[in-house]
Amino acid sequence: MSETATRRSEPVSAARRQFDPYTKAVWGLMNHWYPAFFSSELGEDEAKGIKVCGIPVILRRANGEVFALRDQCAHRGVRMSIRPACFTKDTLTCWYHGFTYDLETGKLVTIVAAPDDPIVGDVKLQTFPVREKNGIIYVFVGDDGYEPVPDLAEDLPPKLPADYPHQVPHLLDDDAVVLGIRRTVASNWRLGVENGFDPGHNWLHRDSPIVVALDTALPLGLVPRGPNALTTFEGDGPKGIRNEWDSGDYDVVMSSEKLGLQARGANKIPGLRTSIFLPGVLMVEHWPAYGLAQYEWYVPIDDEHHEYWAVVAKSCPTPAERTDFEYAYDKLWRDAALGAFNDDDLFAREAMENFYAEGGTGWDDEQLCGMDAVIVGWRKIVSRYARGYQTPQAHPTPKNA
Amino acid sequence: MTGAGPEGARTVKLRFEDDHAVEFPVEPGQTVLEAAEAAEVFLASQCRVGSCGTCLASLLSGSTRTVAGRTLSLLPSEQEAGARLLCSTEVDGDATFELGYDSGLASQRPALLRAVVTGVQQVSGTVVELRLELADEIPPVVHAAGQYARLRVPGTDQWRSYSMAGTARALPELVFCVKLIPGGAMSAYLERAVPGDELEVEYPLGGFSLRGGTGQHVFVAGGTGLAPVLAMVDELRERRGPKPPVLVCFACQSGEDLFGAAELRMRAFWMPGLTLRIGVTEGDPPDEETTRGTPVSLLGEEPLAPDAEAYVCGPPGMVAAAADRLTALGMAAHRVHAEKFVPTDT
Repeated sequence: MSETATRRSEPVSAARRQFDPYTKAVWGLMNHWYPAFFSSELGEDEAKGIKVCGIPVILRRANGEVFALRDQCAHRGVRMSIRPACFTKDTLTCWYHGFTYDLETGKLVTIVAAPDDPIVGDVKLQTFPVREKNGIIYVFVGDDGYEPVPDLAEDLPPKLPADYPHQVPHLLDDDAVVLGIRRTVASNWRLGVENGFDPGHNWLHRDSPIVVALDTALPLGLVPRGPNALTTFEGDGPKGIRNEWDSGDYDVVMSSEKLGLQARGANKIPGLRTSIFLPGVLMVEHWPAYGLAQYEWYVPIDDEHHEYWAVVAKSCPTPAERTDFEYAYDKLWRDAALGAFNDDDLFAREAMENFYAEGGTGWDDEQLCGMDAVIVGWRKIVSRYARGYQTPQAHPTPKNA
Repeated sequence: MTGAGPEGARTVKLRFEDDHAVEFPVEPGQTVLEAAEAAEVFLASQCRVGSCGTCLASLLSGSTRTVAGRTLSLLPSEQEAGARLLCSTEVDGDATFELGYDSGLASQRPALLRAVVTGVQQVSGTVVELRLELADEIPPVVHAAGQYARLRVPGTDQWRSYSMAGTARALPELVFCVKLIPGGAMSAYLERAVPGDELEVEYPLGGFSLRGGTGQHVFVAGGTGLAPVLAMVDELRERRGPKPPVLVCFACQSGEDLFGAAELRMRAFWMPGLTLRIGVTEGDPPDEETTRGTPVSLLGEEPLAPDAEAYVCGPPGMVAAAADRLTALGMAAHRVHAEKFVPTDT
């Protein structure tokens, strides 16, 4: 009797086996909430399409409310969003043969070219639950009939406890102002997710203009040394993992003797922490400056592209504070933080893509090391708590419409 | 020719669990199974002589006879209640039967395929995990979790039946758990098997599969009866939509026989809604996570929800005991689905 050469259940690769479902989640996690558009991108009566996990979705605003349907006419499958046609407030019409769907239920209510066709009333397009808050339109990308639809808050980083000294706004806080950008990145969504909270990638940003200009203290790296370095969230509510930089269980690397490198910056940011929550939402507390929070999503478009969302949030209880924050965002944070600083991250994600892409060997051959404990933790949390995995979708179109 | 009995073809109607029905003629002297196959309806069957019980059906109307000279594994009480083995059943007139599985499982003839051995690993004192990779193209109809394949023992004309231990998503790989039986043909082959060996596979077969339902799924498995249960648990995990709560009760005879515990614990890690009870029937449990007990005793005393579905796989005695226990715990008999494993590797 002989043994096979490689078996994943060998003890040496037990962790690799535990996050096996994650390595197969090429097309993204199903039955989760994702951002679709900024509110400002979808005016009254506008209809626009996106792709999430390979699923085309059309969103339309009518009487202020946003509705989402599968962006694929039941008749011949064209994407309705490429030539939106809307004639009433409660319907969406396909530009090709005039199949017209009820916005709320997705039911076919008439066909312009054949009003008496017996399929009217029978045929239905999948609808997606929508929520809009603080300038972001969220859509629940679920399997048809998935119930119950969880609250949006289940898929966002949780609110900080009220007695925690370093408060930052939650995305759903009534007084939070949330401003940001989104762009398409040519890498699998998981490479995007794993970039933001990676303790070893800090030094990539050492020469970024914002770091130099604000003289921000930025270590070369952070190495976990004890049980308090990571907090996992596995109970009720959002599922995720957080780096506790200030716990004392993260060693701060300030220099590389061998290479003659020295961390720079005099201004330490108290309360700076990074965390990641299902379905891949990054929270950076007190970044790019104390009192702000940066949130990011890496929304799967297809197997090799994700929509990279980066927003900065600030609590602005008064109109004057809002005006000040909007000015600072417009003149500083957008270009220096979400732009130049995060451009370094995009460069890294796209550079990893070949190794991990379809046909690549990254998920089997990567050589993780001590700094990667949080990444393995994240992968295991996804493997355990994802509400579903998207199966490969046909004919990927790389970009959002 | 005595002239006794009606002449000419009769019509048999089969009703599947999904309420789909088929009708076909049965010639005199033909069994219902043979007539079904002549009409291109491929029913779950295996031994074809009344022993294995795979082709079980319930007679709803009509009169039947057992093919002469056969020893059926049906109990007289089962026969009185209407149970029939279609491989050994002839009809005296028109008849209607009910089958305990979906019509989708009966529409396609199993394919005869070539496969290559990719792994042979002894996973306990008495169980070998056999990995095959199909050398032929993947057939249009792939297995439902819970179905089995027949493997031809290389160098012989003997065929053995084993359930796939994974879902069709792993194709072209097929994984089987083979219980080693002293003197058995397959067991003897496995002693000398090496990766690269080629063997023939008849695939897919059987009517044991998930029936749907969103209530708790209870799996009771003994020994290599774990294989179809692993496949079904993986199917529940990998398929779209919400995951039902799952209870798996699995035991082997002794610590030396126990296998698959690490695989099951990995499923429990991936599925927070999976409750796992692993036991050994005799001797000391090998570790603290394993208890002393049978697959049936591991079910415990808690009543089961009325909408629960149970899947039982193991030796016939265990299957019967599990069915009794499950109904005693409040389950309706029609929600208990079973696959009997009979040691045939002799």
